[in-house]
Amino acid sequence: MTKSLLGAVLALAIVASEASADTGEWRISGFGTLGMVRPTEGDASLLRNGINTSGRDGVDFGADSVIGLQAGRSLASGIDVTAQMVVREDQNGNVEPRLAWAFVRFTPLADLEFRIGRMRAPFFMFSESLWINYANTWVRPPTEVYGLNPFSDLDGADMMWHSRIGGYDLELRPYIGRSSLERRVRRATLKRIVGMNLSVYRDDYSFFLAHAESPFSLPWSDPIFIAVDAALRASPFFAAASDLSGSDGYARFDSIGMQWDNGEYLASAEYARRAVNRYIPSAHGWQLTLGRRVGTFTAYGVLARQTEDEPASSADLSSVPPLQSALDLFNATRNTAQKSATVGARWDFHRNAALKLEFTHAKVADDSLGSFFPVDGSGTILFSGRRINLFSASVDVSF
Amino acid sequence: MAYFNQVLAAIVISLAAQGGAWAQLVIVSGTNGAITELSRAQAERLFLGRATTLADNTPVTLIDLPPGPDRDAFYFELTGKNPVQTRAYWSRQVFTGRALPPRQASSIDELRQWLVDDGNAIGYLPQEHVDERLRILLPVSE
Repeated sequence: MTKSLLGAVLALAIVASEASADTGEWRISGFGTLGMVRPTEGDASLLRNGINTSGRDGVDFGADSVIGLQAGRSLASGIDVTAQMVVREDQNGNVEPRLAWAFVRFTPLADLEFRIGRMRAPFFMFSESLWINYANTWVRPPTEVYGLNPFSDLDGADMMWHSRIGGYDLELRPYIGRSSLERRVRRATLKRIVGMNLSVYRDDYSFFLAHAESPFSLPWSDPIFIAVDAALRASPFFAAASDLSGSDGYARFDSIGMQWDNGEYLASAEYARRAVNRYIPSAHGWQLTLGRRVGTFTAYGVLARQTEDEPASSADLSSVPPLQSALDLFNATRNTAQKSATVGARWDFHRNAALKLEFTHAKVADDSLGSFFPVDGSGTILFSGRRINLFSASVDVSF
Repeated sequence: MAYFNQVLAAIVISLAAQGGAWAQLVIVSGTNGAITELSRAQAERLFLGRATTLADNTPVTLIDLPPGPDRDAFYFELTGKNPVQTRAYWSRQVFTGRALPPRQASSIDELRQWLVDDGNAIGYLPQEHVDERLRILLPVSE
């Protein structure tokens, strides 16, 4: 499976150098990444929440490798369509083509656009370009921030209003829709998303502000959940079981971020928060990236941290210590808090391709999995308090 | 010393002969086209993919030169972005559905022909390649 993906990405890298595909009015473009990541700890693999499945070997090609093909064309004055197919490993370990974007855009006025269809959910600053690694400085956006929201599709509609006020370009973007995430047994769903983003650009700066909220369902089906749920239901604390898994959740997402890039130096910073009432923890995360470009080389460093604000279930079961321990284990295996420091280098060795090398030192928080998953697939080993190093390398193309 | 001067002169001439980056670049449309004027701010927003129409809602098709020094110089002078920044920026614009990528002509001849054929198209080229079929909208160098 991974091998076929690997071959496809390599083939893509070769055709990328041919560039330019103009078949009549259709504008065809593509992107791809061949990436590998290797944790130094033998029992841990990198888990990007909602994106990949945990690896089984020392070197994981599935976490970052991706191919995308996009076609767009204008249908009539003020109407255009865009569709994008992406092939990458999903969170169940399957590698199948899926529709990442498919929308019709109406531009009734110069500064106003409406889009209907499937888009990327724009919860955080880099959410829409989460897989467009060529567009990003890093091998992958920091998991401490981007793991806070695993949902990537937005099936719905948005409106973009552009304005220019005193040298500032403003973009106001309300959106509505829903988003589903395939899980092994049942889907997790953000059922009615209502969100609003504000982006402001000026010269080398851009600022980003976002808020979204939605009722959600999250049906857990892992062995720890099943055991803890059964134990709770058989106890006087059966009511607490309803806070572990189900379809009565409510989530709020907030993000504030900025980017600055003057060609020689670049900086980006983002703070994001997930506030939920049950099923998963409330948490916040931030990242700070600084970089320096010399010709086609970019050296960069990243600091990032995710902190749990509230565990998935705060029920007090301390009168029955074994039940409390079981609930603590359930809570800890939903917690992805960690902090990390990364140094990396990007080399744009070709007009359409970049090579990136990255080293990350992560420290998993207490009672947390961090952004790791046991390679034995058990899901019962916690990496609490452990320090894990990651080596990542990728070749990104865009054509 | 004379030899040194000769070498220096040879270097200067060969650099100048590369043209491109030193030539004045201009944004142009077809003489018979719908686009008759363009401000620098409008041009910047269009070539950054932040706008797809003029203020009066006239749709605009962007045409790029093939990759090379003229194209790099154009984006640097208009938007301040170097080639590495420009490509990363445009890949984000395209793959996040913000903007259709510019159509890429394979040569200056093809670019001129496309501008003549498509009345809503704008492109850029070194001023010495402007012919009677094209209208200069904006010099790019300030």
